[in-house]
Amino acid sequence: MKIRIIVDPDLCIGAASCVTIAPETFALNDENKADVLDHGQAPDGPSYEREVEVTEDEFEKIIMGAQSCPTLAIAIIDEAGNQLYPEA
Amino acid sequence: MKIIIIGGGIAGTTAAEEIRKQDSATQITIIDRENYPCYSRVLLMPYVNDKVEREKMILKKPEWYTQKNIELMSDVEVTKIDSKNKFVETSEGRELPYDKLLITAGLNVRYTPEDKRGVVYFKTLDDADQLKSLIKEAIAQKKNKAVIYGGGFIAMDYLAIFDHYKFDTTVLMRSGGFWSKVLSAHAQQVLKDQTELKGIKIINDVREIELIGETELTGVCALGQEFETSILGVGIGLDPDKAVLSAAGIEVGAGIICDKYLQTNVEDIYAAGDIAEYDDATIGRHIRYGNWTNAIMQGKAVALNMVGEKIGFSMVSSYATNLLGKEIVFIGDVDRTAADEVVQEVADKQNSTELFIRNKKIVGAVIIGDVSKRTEITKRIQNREAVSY
Repeated sequence: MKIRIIVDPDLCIGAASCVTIAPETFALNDENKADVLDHGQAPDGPSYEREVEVTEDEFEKIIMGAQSCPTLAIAIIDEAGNQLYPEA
Repeated sequence: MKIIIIGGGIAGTTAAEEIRKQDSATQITIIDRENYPCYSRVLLMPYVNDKVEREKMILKKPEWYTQKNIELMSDVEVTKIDSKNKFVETSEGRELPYDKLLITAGLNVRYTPEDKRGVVYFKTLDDADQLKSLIKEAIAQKKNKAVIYGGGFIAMDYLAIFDHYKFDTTVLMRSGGFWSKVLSAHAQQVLKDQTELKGIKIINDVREIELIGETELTGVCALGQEFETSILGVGIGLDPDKAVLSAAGIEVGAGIICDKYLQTNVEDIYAAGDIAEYDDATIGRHIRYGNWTNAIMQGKAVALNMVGEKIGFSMVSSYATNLLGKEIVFIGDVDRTAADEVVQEVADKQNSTELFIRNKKIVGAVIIGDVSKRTEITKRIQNREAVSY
C-alpha cells in the first residue's frame, strides 16, 4: 500500500519517539526535527513529506511512530486522500 | 488475571494498550489522580501559548477506553498498597485486588513552603489552565511581570510562555546557573548569554523566597530584593510518593528501584515511566529518565514482561528542549557525580557539547546550540564505543 507521511516542522520538537519506533521512516535532521525517509533512504534530498510504498507490518510501525508523537506533528494519509492519523 | 495500573499518563496508558493487544481476557484498571483521560503533557506549553486547542491535547477519548475494555478510574488516589494481600486502597475508600500491579504514577512536584493565589506549578492540565487564566488576568490589569523559581526543564517552558506574552521576566535560581549540577561553566555561560540577549533577569544562589501579598501574590522577595509580580512559576524538582511506596515495602531511591525487566523488589509489582529507576545495560547502572519517549517505550516493555515475557529494557534516552530558541539536548546518563570524566568537546560562544565518560565509554552527552551531532552521539552511546580522552 502507498501512504503519504507528513511531519509538521513547526510542531516537531525533537522528542524523537518516532525515530525510536520507526527508524526506517523517521530520522532527526540538523534542526533537531524529524525528516521523513523512504526505507532508510532520502531520494531527492531531505524532506518533511514523502509518499512511501509500505507493507502491512511497516505500516503498523509507522502508525505507531505517528501515534507516539507528543505534539501530534505527524500525519498519515492514504492513497484516497483520507487522513488516517491524527483522526480529523 | 487482574492488573491494576496506578497512573494514567502515557506510560500507564501505553502499557494498558499493549497488555490488551497481548491478551483480551485480562481485567485492566487504570487509577488516575487527575480528572482527564490520557493527554499530552508536552503540549501544555503550546496550549498556554494558544497554539494548540485544549481538545487536541487529549490523546485518548473516553470511547477508546470502552473499546479496549480498559477501566479508567479518574480523580482517584491510591492511599495504600497492601503488597502481601495484593490489594490497593483508594481515596474513595475502596479496596481493589490485583494479581499484578504496575506503578506509572510519575513524580510529585516540590512545593514552596508558602502558597498564595498567583503561585503556579506546571505539571498538569489543571496547572496549565490556572497559568493561562493568571496570564490573561495580568494582561488585563497591565501587570505583565513574571517570576520563575528554578532553573531546569520546567523553567524552559515558563520562559517560552512568558516570552510569548511579552512579560518582563526574572528567574530566581537556587544555584549558580541553569542545571548547575549537570552543566559545565561554559555550557551555563552559553545559556546565560541567551537569556541576556532576550532581556531576562537571572538571580543566582537563591536559597529561599518569601511571598508578598495578603491572599494574592504581589511580589517575591529573594536575597533581600523585592520583585514585583502577580505570577510565580515554580519548578524546583520532583519526588516519588515515598510514604505509600515504602509502606508497601517497595524500594525507593530517586525513583522506584527496578531491575532491567522493570520489576520492583516486591513480587508482582512493576514500575515504568518517570518514576522507574531501572537497571540499564547500555549505561551500566540504575537510572531514571523523565521524558515522553522513555515513558512510551517502558510502557510497551513492561506490558510484555507482565504478561510473561522476559525482555530486558535498555534505551539511550534523550530529552530535547530549548531556551528561547537555543536548542538543548540531554542524551543518556548526564549525572556529573557518576561520571569518571566529563569532556568538553565543543566550546564556542554559541555552542557547547559535553560528553560524560564512565569506564572509558561514553554514557551521556549534553548538546547546546548546534545539535546536528545528536544522532551520531546517541549511536556512539548505544554502541558502547570505547574512548580515550
